[in-house]
Amino acid sequence: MLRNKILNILRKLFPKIKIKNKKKDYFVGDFKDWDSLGNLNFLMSLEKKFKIRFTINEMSELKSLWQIEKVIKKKIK
Amino acid sequence: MSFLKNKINITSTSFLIPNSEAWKDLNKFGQLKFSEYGNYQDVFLNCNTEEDLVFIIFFQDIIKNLQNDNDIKKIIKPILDLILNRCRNSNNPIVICSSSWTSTNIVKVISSDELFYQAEKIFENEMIKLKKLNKNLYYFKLDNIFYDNGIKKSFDSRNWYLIHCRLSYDGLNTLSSCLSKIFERIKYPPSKVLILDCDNTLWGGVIGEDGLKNIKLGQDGVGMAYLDFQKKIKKINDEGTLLAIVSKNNLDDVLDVFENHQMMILRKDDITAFKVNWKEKFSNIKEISQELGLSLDSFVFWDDSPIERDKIIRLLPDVKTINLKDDVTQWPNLIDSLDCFSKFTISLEDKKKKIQYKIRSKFISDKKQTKDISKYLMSINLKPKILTVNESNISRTIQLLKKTNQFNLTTRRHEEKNIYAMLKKKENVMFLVSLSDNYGDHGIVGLVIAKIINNKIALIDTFLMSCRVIGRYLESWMLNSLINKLRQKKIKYLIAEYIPAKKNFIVKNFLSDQGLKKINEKNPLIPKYINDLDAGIDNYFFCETEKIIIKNLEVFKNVKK
Repeated sequence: MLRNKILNILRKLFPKIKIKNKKKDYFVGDFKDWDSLGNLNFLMSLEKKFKIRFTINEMSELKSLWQIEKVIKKKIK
Repeated sequence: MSFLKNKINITSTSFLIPNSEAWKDLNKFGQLKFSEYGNYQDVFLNCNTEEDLVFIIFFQDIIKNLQNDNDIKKIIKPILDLILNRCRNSNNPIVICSSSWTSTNIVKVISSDELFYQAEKIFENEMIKLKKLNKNLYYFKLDNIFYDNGIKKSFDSRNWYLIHCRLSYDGLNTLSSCLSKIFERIKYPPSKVLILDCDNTLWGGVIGEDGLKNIKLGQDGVGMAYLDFQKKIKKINDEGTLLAIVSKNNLDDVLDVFENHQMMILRKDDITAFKVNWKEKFSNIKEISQELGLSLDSFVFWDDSPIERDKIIRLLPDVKTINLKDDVTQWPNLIDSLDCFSKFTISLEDKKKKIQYKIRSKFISDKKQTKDISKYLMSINLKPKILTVNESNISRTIQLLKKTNQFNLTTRRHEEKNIYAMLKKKENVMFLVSLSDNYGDHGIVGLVIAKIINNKIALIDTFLMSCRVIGRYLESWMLNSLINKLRQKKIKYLIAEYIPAKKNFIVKNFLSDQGLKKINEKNPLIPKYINDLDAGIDNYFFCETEKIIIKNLEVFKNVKK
């Protein structure tokens, strides 16, 4: 459920991205648009969607879908 | 639409996170080009002069530890030079905004010790001066627009340390939506007509039941709110928005209030159209639209009844229906916060508008009653006049180009610079037309531009006429004047095109009705120089200037040459 919400945001931000395997982990750089700047935009959109806030360290260290999901899970509890 | 191709360069003293979802509002108004961090000088010097430019200054980025006003001025000077230079070289919009906000405390505020604040004050004064001289320059203080959402929420120091962006996502979003509103008004005219209900809208209570003495208006409490609401409407009206009353009521009752209630701010004369009857409001609004020659998308509907509002939303989706809360005490602020009526500058023409549209409706009703239109038009003393385009009327020229949607063959929206460039080529024909008649002086209402292609052929670039003088055959007179000028220049052929646009179907048959012939593909007149055939091959027409006889000129028989 949470993963779907995260994937929806990713797709909305980068319409060209095609996620084939929803269970697989993906990393910054796996898709052309999802570069480091793209990742910041992605994280900020997630902040907005889930009404959470990442620290500056999280912003620079979270680089994969699984990591991101884990941190969000903690924050929305 | 042409503006979509427009590019908007966005640059700043800090980083603005391109591709953020926060920018999606502004994206509708052009292709956004963000500069790299700190690269604003480069953008000012090198970006295309045909593109729009937005510059956002954060004084905390440029003012470091300085001592006095002179130091501040030294830092600001090169920035002002960049802006001035851009104004000289480009006619495209230049939008500048600045922010002096910084985390502060009350003691600093009282001692007005805040450096950034001082810097912004100096900058603001300079911008006010520049703005007066440059119509394409727009300036605002960013912090003012952040107040609504909370200024602290608009900034985010995490983003600063992370990526050199001063603003939070919300801050970027507010900035983006504010810039979109500015670009929207630069590209599109404001709404033209405000439709108002009466009972519980202009006053409290129901006139038909409560009577003149008992309606709530002006005394105190809620009556005061209605009064203030009317004052705001009056101001909008004075600035050129027309007012119409659409109310399910008895006309006599409503007129009684307008004429005899001591506290009424709006008077009968302020209202361009009264539709007070028991018909459905959508049909009344449609009628007004026809009588004024204004399309429904320039109408705003203000009515206290949610049912009436729902009907208009459903039946006339082009009309902008204002979503109201029941609480009238909020209305004076609400109407102020609507940007649909606001203009960057209010021209003399705007102030005259009320009278001009009154004249127009009178003309239409008089004309309806006569059988012989030519005879009638001959009797009203039509006096058209040709004027050359120059500095004194350039702003009206641009206004006509920008606002004329209906009687406009090509709807080319030339900027001032293009006009001057075309004027420079002496062979081109360009003139304005003003008109007066028994109904009054209509001012400058027409514009004709014809480019001379070679020594035989001229092409109409622009042929437009303000809709408030439609129905007087002025277009025939304008076309005839153009033909005369071409004859003098010994130009043999005139080519004209009709470029279909959203609202200009009324000129669809103008050229063929006047006897111009369609150009077909085999015709040698299909010029190579009309490279992209803007209008599509079917919409090109031509005539021989010596042979064509323009119709309907008899109504101008009395005009002295």
